[in-house]
Amino acid sequence: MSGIDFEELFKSPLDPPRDDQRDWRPLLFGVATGLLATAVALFWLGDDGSEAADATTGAPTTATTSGPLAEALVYPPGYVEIASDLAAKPVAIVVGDDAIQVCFVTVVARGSDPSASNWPLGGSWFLEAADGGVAASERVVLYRSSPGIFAVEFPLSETLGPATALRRVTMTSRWDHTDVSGTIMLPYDGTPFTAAEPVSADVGDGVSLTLPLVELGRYQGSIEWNVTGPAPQGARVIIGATLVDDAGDVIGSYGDFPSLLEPGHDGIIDVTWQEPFRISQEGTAAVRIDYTVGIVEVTDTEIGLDLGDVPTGR
Amino acid sequence: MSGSARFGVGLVIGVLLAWGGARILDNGGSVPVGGSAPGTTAESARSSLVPWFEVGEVLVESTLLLPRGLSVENDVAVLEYELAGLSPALGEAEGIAGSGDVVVLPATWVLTTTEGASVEATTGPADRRVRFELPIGATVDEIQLIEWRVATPLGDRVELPVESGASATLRSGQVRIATVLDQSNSTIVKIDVRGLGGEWEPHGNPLPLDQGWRAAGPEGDYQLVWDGADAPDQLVLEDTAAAWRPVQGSILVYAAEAG
Repeated sequence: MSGIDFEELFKSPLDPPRDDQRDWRPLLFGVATGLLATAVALFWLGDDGSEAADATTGAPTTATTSGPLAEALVYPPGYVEIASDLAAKPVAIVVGDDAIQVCFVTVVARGSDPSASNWPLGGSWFLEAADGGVAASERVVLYRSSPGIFAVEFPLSETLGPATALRRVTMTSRWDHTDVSGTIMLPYDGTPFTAAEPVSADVGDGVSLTLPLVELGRYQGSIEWNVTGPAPQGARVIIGATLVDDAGDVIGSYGDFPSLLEPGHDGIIDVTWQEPFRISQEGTAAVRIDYTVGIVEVTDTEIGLDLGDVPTGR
Repeated sequence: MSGSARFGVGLVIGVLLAWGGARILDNGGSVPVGGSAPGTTAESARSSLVPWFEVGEVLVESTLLLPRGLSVENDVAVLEYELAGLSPALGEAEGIAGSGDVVVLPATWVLTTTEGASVEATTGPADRRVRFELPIGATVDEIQLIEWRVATPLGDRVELPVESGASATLRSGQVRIATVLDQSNSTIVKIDVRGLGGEWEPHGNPLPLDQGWRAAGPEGDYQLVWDGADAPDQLVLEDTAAAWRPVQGSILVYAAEAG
């Protein structure tokens, strides 16, 4: 078949006269070659045979992918990293009257702390249809569970209609932020409390946080804020208020439900009296305002996620 | 047999051995026997992934379902479980230590008896056990999760005239202007929001895009205040809600053969 004379190939001057019926060396060489060639082929094809195994065992199939034996995946199958230690997967496409929203679920990298707070605040996205239509994102929709979930909204247009098959979504820039935290102390003059005048704090890089209005009632309050200075994309601002006595001990705090707020240049934060719930606010000597300001820093990216298998609904 | 023929036979044997070995390795190092332990199916984490929380966990999108035992008594089977999320959480997430937010929840299950009968059961967001009513004398063969729900945030923008009785429909419910109170130097608009419930999460207040309006009041029943005598005729409200969207699939959670 091959024309190779294996008898000659394996022949050595030191070989004793051989009995052809008992010479298994060509067979063993063949086995070794077969093992090696198949292993190399499987390796290069990236095939550990799982699909064939599924078909023969009738195992249930979903959107998971196979991996090497006992692999410690950083993210579950199907998730694509969109930021350091954070990956996303599109899970639904929702077509509305005038917009398409692509909904995502995110996961943290194996070993990362899910309660870390420095997750990106959004980004700019690009939607591609199977027929070539494209659209740039209008906004990122955040909710209470964000960034565990978020949606990106794209406008419907002549080139991107409600029945258009979608191919891919690409994040072209990411809104990162570095948090700066600080405290402002205000003298307390009774409940309901209203700050006598606007207060400001320097949060670095020439950016100032100003609180034009601080109002704290018995159970809830309202704090207006704005950022000025070189922050073209705005900032994510978190503010809480704590009542303290003469010794600096905490009497009670006002806060907000923790959520990933959309960045902006101004806003109003409604706060409520937090647990442990205390009816009395007697003994209050000062109001401590705690703030965290994350100035948005735009990072260019080119991260694409396929939409071919993502379910579409209204 | 010639040396070439022996080489050819050996080549075939080698290929078969290598391919067979790959099959065995792909099944977690054991030959399939028709059943598997909870969370070690070909689908759930492929049995070859290092667990995130514990051996036996079952991966459902970004949530890990941790089986806590199956009991069968008086023809009722109860599977208890915990959930651990891999999604980022702002603040401490409840439940398993180190868990993130749980944004994917089990919803519909099917139990198959060794006699071939199928029994469906459903669970809600707060449930951590699923209960199946079995045919008399039946034994459990396997339990699969066939539907789960994924939290998806959705935004709506609606425009309505600033007049009493005006209303607009949101995906998650309806917003209605209850009253408009024009004062000499301000306008107060009282708004009611009625959520649809069902797959929709409890609702926040739709807020005006125009920052000239100030919003205050509890969820679902709040008011907007415009300072000055120049309140706009039209009001654009931006709403954000989240729906638990169903996803169908098939994930093996328990199989009797593996105990």
